[in-house]
Amino acid sequence: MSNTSENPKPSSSSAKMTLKTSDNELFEVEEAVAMKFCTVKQYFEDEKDSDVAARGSTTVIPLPNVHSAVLATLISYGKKLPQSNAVADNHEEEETKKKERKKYEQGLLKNLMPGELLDLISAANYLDFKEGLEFFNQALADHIQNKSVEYVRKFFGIKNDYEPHEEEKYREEYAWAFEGVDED
Amino acid sequence: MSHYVPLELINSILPRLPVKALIRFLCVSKEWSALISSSNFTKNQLSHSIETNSNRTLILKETCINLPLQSRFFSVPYSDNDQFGKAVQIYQPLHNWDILDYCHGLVCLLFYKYKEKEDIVIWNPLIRKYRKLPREPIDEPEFSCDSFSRFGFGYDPINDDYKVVRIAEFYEGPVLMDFFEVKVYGLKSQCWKKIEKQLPIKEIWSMQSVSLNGAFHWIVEQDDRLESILAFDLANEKFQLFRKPLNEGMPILDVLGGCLCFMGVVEETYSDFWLMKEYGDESSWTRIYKIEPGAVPWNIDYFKPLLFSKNGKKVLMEEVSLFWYDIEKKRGKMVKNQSFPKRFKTATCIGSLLLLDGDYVIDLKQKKNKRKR
Repeated sequence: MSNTSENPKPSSSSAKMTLKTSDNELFEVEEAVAMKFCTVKQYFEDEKDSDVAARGSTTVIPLPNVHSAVLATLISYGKKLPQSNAVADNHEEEETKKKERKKYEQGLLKNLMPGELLDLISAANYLDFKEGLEFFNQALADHIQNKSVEYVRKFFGIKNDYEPHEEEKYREEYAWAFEGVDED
Repeated sequence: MSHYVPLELINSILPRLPVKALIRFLCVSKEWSALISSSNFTKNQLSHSIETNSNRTLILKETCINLPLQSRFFSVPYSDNDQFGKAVQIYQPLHNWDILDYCHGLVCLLFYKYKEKEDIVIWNPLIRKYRKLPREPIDEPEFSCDSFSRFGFGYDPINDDYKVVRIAEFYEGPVLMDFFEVKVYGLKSQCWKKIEKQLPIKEIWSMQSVSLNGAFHWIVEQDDRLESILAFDLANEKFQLFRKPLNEGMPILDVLGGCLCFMGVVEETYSDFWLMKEYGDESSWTRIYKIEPGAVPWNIDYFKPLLFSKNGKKVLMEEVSLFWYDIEKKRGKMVKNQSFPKRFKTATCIGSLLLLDGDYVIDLKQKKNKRKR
């Protein structure tokens, strides 16, 4: 009875919302997914309270701080998360979904440039997308954990404000922490 | 690719890093150094470490019967799926010690011989920093007598402080006196304080205390020859007594899975393990397993329980080396790892930046290399 393809279609009315990015692209997203972006949820709830009756597909929510490419990835990630309105799975289905999600996550990270991670984190932060933030923050931490100090400075655009002798002191005293670091 | 990243975002990425990376990144910029060294960051990082069990490491102290002064320390990474990595030798601060107890990435080391002054050090092996405790005299009574001390190390969550307790008991010849001296050292204050209250007991049986929930615990004998568990709360400095769950076997206390663990041990016969599932509630004592002959291929004795496996079905235990005890199958299996020393004691650590402001542990190998230059 359960739909074995991607996502089982929610049985009840699945309202859709339209999100507009900084580069004026429109994304039609299922409410369940869009609600994971708390900023959107807040906007939506504020709209409901106001006198403007229009809801669902006729409301366009502007996201001036988010580029289309970034939003596409975040929506794609949001779709893969366990949906709060979906029918509860049995243990086996849950395990299968977990494995699928892991596979998807690995594939996603493989195709991302490290710099894109920063954009995704920034956007997830703006959208208040907790699961996305958790995932991409961890992905970025995993990416930099064995990198050199120079790499990290370049990556985050940080200027080294240490005097050479000050930096040398750190490197000497904590020499063990500089061993085995990835080549730049 | 590089554009300015607000510190707020950096702050949600950094606590996820292993401590080795955090130490290295102190040198990225003055702002990063200030951030990483801040006490708020230490707290955040520790919370994250505890939640995710990150940087999980076993610290092994070799126990050589023949050459006690040359026992080495090792660190062994221990992954999320219960796998042990390669043991790597590490250097302990100063000289030879025993492991007293451990918590939040800190290991408390003790050097103590009866009738001699003790040396105590708190060490964070993953960042190679330590602090040596100042020597604290025992306020001996006027008449001449000998004293014997017992120690404990643990975390006080109310004051967010790490503490060492020393209880001194006094002997006039072979006779045990009926008063004790209790002193507590706090890592924050960096000094010892005397506890004026008297212990409501006759004698302490445990060699060292077990720390949990901001309290130290010992097996004690009360005046009416009743053996029970004494708890001393670090924050409000109050004593409390708990009933033991069993009367048979030699009573030993430990901590397992965040609960007080009581063992009744009868050498070569059995080792019975109980957990106080709800701290403070005597009715919550629950037997979790009993090791009996045939379950393990060696003499049944006191085996220290260290931690549960990820699925909670096995317990990692310390005998001379380490073994996994399968609770359902009632079978113990030795952990085979070529890089482990033959006999050792174990402490468990997670990554933390506590004692970042402590003294450096000098790596003897590094020192030798420096001299060569």
